[in-house]
Amino acid sequence: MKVTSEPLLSIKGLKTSFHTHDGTITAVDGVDFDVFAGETLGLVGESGCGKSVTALSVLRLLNPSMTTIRGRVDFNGKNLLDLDPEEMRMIRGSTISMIFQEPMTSLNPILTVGEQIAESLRLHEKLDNKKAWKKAIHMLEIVQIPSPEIRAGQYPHKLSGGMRQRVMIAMALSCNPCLIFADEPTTALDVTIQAQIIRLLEHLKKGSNTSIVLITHDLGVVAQMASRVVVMYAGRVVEEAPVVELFHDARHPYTRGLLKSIPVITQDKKTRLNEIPGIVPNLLYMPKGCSFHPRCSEAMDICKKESPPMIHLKKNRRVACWLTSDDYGEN
Amino acid sequence: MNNIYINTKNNDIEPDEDVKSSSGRGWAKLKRNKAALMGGIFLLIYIGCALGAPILFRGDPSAPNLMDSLSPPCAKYFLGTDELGRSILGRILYGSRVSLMIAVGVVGVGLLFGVPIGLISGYYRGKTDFIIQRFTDMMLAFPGFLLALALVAILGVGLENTVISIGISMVPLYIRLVRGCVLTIREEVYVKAARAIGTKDRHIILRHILPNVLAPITVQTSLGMGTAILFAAGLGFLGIGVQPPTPEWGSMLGSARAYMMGKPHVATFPGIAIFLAVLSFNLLGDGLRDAFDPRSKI
Repeated sequence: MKVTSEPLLSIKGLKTSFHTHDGTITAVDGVDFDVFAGETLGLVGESGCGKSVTALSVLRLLNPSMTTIRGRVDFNGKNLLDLDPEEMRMIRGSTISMIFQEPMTSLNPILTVGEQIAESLRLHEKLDNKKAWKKAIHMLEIVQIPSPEIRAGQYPHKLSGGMRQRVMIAMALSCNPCLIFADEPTTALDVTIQAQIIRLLEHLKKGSNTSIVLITHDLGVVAQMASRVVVMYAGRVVEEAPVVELFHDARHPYTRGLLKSIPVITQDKKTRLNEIPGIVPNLLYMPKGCSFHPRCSEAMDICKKESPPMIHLKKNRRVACWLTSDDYGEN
Repeated sequence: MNNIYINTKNNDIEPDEDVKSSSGRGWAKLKRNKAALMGGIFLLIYIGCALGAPILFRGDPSAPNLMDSLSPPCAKYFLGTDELGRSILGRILYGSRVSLMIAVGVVGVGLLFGVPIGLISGYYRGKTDFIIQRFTDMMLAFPGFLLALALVAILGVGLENTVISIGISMVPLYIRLVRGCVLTIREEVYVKAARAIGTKDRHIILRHILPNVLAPITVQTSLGMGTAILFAAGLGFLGIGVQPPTPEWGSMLGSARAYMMGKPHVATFPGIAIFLAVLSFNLLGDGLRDAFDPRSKI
């Protein structure tokens, strides 16, 4: 893997707030992480912890009249949050793409799949209709859809979920982006198809220097694909680690809880699956101190009062927890 | 397209040859709906009358012939004559041209302004939407016919002004309808996905959103044509619509008012013509709605 020291995408202090009738909800609260060229970064957390909102904020796909995005998103030497809408539109699809989690609804039912792939080619690569169509067929071939010429002329309802996700991947890849946000690309698919899609993504990544930010709550997928993992909880980064270290030596009680709640096939049927008690806090009423303390089995007094600092243990290894802070002193 | 079975080693393929597209299912439903079918047949007859009026009736429908005035239906005058001795059949046939022109024109005006404004209002939301919607509220505060009347008062009488007035009075309905549909469709993942690959707003509106709102627009168009004929007849009846001697159903009714007791046929036949034309559009419109409304399960 070609990982350079200069990050491709650098998110610093990203803070996304939604203005609702009940008040302002901060869904992403001071997130920072880097993505290097050619790597696969796992972005992990429970539903509602701000993973998808982080991706949508980077691509600026949230409705600007209802959201405020602050912080910096440096990409190719430019802060994406400062670009005007037209410049941002040109980046979407050509250098940064996104794959959504619902393959059944992410294709327009009234356009053929070929047309939908050709759309971004005409737009970004300025191909004429005929060339765009040819390339669209070629893209379907790349994502291993059989009989691509026939499939390109079909409407989405003729395709199964797995095929539609392949089409989505073809759309995302069509202009050779440097970065792809894959938002739960396998969640809506059944297990065998999940494995196929993951193998496909890995295969495609090998052939290019594309970075993937894999947003998921499925740690199995992360273990298979990602080289580095960022764990999020309630809109904040709680831990970051290379994938092997995370699975062997998770520092944050939340990460440990997530790892424990993976079902093991050899487990005795009568043993209950481990779970993290409680639910993600309501973003309108965040607990004081560490946002995880009400659910944490190891919570101490200080956790209820002050939110923990981010402790950088070494390169690509950081954790926000008072437990670690005690081990390492206050430095 | 013929059913194509693809021989494949991948197991994530479901050849689903039985699945018809939603519009295909819609047409099948429409064909089963007898009322809608009847509406469609009436409509074809109506359009046939409008197109074939010069063949079906020879002579000038506006030329008076006072010798035969107010003649009851007979062999020479199949539906009788009016107070100026003009054949009622001829005037109804030629009147169908006028009313069809009005129906098409009115809906054309409604679509021309209502659809783009509705698309913009629903897609961009925010201040644009707010201003457009308050303006629409204002127009909808008047009953449609009253608004058309007021506009005629400003613009003046005649065929063109009738079309423009009724057309404008229908614009807010289209704005509301289209905006409502756009609000749901713009939240679809495929719209987000299209934006995620950098598609231009104009392109998203025209290629991704507009085709998905065509079904409700079609229904509203059919029902709107019925309403347009009724409104035009209303204006004609009041004497401020299409002016004589142009044969127009509403003004025919209006001038027949005086002979209602003694010569009821003078008012009856144009009345039936209006009734059937409006009925055909409404039956067809209802049928279309049932066929294309995803919630109806006929």
